[in-house]
Amino acid sequence: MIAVELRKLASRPRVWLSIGLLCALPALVAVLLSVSNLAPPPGQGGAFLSAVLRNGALFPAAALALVLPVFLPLAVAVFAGDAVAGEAATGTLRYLLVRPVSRSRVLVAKMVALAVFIVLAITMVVVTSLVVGLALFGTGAEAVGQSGAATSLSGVTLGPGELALRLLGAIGYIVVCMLGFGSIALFFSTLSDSAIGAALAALAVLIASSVLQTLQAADSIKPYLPTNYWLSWIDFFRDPILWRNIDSGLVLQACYIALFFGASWANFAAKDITS
Amino acid sequence: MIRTRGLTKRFGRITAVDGVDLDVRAGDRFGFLGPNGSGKTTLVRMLLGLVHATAGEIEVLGERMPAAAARVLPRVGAMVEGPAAYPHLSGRRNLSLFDAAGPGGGRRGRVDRVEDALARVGLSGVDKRAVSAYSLGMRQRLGLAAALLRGPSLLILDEPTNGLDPKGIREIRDLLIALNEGGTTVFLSSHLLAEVELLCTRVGIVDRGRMVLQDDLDNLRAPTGQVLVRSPDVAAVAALLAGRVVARDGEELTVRHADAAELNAELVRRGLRVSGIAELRRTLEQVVLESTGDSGDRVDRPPDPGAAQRRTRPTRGGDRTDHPREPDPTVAERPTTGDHLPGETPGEPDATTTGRTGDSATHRRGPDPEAEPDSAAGRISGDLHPGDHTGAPDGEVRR
Amino acid sequence: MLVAALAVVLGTPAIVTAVTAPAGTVDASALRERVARSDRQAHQGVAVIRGSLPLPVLPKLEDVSALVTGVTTVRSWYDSPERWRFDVLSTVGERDTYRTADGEFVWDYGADQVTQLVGTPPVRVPRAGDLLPPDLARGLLATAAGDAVSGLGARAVAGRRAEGLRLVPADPDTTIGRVDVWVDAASGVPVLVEVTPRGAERPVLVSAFEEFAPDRPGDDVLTPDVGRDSGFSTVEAPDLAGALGALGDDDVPASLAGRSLRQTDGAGVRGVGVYGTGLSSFVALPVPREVGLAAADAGGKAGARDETVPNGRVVSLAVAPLSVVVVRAQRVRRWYLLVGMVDTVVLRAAATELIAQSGRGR
Repeated sequence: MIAVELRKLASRPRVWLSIGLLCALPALVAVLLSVSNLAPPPGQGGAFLSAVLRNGALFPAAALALVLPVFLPLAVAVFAGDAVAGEAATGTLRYLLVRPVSRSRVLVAKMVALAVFIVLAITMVVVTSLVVGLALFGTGAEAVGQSGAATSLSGVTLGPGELALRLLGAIGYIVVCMLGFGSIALFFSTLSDSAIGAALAALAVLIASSVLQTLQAADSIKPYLPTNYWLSWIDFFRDPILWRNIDSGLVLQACYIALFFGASWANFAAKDITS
Repeated sequence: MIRTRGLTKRFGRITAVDGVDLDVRAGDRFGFLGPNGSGKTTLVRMLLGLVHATAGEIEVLGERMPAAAARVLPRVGAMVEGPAAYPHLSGRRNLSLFDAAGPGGGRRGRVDRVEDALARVGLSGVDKRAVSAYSLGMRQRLGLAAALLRGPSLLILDEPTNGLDPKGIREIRDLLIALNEGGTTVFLSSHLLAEVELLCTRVGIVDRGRMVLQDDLDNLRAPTGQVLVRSPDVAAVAALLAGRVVARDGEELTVRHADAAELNAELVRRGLRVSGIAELRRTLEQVVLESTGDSGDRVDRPPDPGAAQRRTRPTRGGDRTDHPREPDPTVAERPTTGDHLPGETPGEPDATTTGRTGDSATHRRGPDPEAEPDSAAGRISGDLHPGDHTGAPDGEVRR
Repeated sequence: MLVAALAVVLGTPAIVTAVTAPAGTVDASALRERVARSDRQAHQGVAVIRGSLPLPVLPKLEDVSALVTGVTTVRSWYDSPERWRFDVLSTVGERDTYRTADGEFVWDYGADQVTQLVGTPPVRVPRAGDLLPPDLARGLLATAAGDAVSGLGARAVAGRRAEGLRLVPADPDTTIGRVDVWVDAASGVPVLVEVTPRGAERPVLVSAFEEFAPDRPGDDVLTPDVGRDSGFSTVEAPDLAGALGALGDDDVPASLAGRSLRQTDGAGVRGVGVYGTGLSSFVALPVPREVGLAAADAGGKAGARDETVPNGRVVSLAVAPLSVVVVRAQRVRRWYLLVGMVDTVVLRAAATELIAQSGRGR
């Protein structure tokens, strides 16, 4: 069933379209930056954006910062929202279940496909933005004196190996965050027969969480908001790495994954399939 | 093969299936008939473990459902409420995905299984275009192919001929009969009486969630003890059979008589010409009409709440807006959809000319078998004038 | 099932903080002694400074306003008063300050620049490092040396046992109601400080370590091996007067509102006057006209009291526990800024005196 889900994923034009759009945004930003040579002022704009003009090796990190707040969760919500509700809407869900595929297997396969989609999307964003960054802004040899190296947020120079490791850490962390969010969307997907409805409900959660995060009065519930630690991937680029929020974020996302995957399972296993 | 006891499903306050005892035996071609909204689909879904029963027991292939779903369902081919496929993939790819998804779907032999299923439903020449470009009939065939993929010993089909043209319907019927003769039990749910009448050996009739009738088709269609006689000498015949004539219409007489052959012989002996004679059997339509209520999708205005009404239903709540069981006599216009009514199966061609139909490639869709003529005529209860059923498979005279 | 899982999620942080249970009584004076000596105790951690003063943005002091009006996350590595580092973190970068034997270095990621600071200003612009719990606690307790403290028992801070003491200033003029300090029981380093204005229920400034270890930081983090390929510049450490572009040639009165001018460090005060002692001390400094006007405007928007007095104008704003007064002395066409954690009554009295004295001086 997992193999089937992956074959479906690979054969869907929509999947590749959304990944293509995710890659296109950073590429567009890179082209505009290189043409205008106008970096955002320090402290404004996306993370790393002011630094990439001097060093293309940092562009993957800047690209992640660009897609993380809205576009990546949007793609994840659409994909995960479609997971069960989409199959219900086309009617293929009932045929899978009478094939028979057990409901748990369907759900696990959907979760695995979701994880693969997230990894695939982020990897594509990183790879394309690395190529674009190196082509447009150079390898950082002039800026840092070493090809493929970059200056960390704390000013310490990171060698190519170190930079790659930290980028991998950041990617892994973002994957976990997206998986946590995706499991919320998956839960809504088991509630509804409308893929769009499920995706919108997940986005509503995202927006509500983001709004609450900016509110000082909501301080007491902030540690539990799904988006609270999303931006902590940037802590991989501090020196020494600030693990505190990364750890909290991983624990929180693990809880969200367990909670909402469990809720999806509880709901889906007992559900009457009337679509 | 399928046995349910007291099967009940409630959705909130609505009882969709109410205490159904279904009994489908091995080798049956079982027709499950009922108006729209009578709970057919819900019952089929319960048989397949898609919907959980509120009460009652289900046994499929000798094992309890849904507990034994993992053992039972691999031997069941099913089509529930129309076919479904991933629209952006080709039919072949769809079948191959469904094959791979479940048990026994190993890579080995998959191509053969898929090609075999496609060939059986007449789609072997289908190209790589996506299912979204398929005609309704092609999708229906693809859905059947998916049901046949595992070589099932039980086929559960919901409206399998929906969207097919007459030739396609005939093909599928022949296929089902052939499969049945090869040992496959066929459970077919339909609202098309003619379809069931032509295909099935046993029928169950469900109305408002209750099983109202379940019997062999031959028993249901037992002779009525009446004979239809057509004669140019109709007046003389009527005079001869005076007291036994039930109805007269032009040259046609309906008379009470136990044996059509004997009556024929008697008339001929007396020199009366007979241009047609047939034993009158009840049609399935009559059986269904006698045993079910209104069309399931009628929503009538409540009857004029006159004084008599108020007397008889003093507790009627003001929030009630419909009385489906009490058709408003003032509403003259009958809905012409009449889904559960038979009407005519569109002129079925001679069996010898039935070949492969164009569904697999060119047809958008054939004449809609559901497009039925005015159903009002068929609703006149007790009208023994038989419906104009044409195209009995082997030219069998039914009247 | 859903409820149980939710409980697990919500419970996680609570379990962490509940590790240590408070118990026992604390000798407040001894604890105060420990705090005073704690500047020799190496430690490291992550602190969060939460200010909730509804302070208007003061011209040229935006960084300071941000410190007391919002949430600032600071990583701190402390070896000794001569060797430490703190990083102010933001979601897009950080600003790190190193103290070494060679002076202070500031790395600003956004500007891609290392700055070496030289000199010690008499009145430095407050920065995040000053509000870290150890510095804030030592500063406040030293300033209020005459005030008694009482014990508060113990609680858990950053998952460690901390003992508390409370300072309630006796000085009737200060606006500070109380200062609560919790001290890491094992190391004696203050790990949580809450400053509550007089008459208020909730603290307006909370500085707390959320992660703390009394361990000596490694040389690698304390050595500013930063920005090897970035910009470098050397500047004199900015003092408050410099930041505001104050006029340095002005003499300030020897006493204001009954408080005498306190000479700081014996260095030239350059026109900045620090008056009084303890928590009720305040600062008076002459500012250029545009800064004075902008400050009066900002204060006006924040609901300041704007009075016209003979020969001048006094705009006074109380943002407990801080009071800010902008003064215009008409005859000499001078603007002054008075800031302190004292009652506005005191600052207004000082303002009236300033106007009168500057008139007499000419």
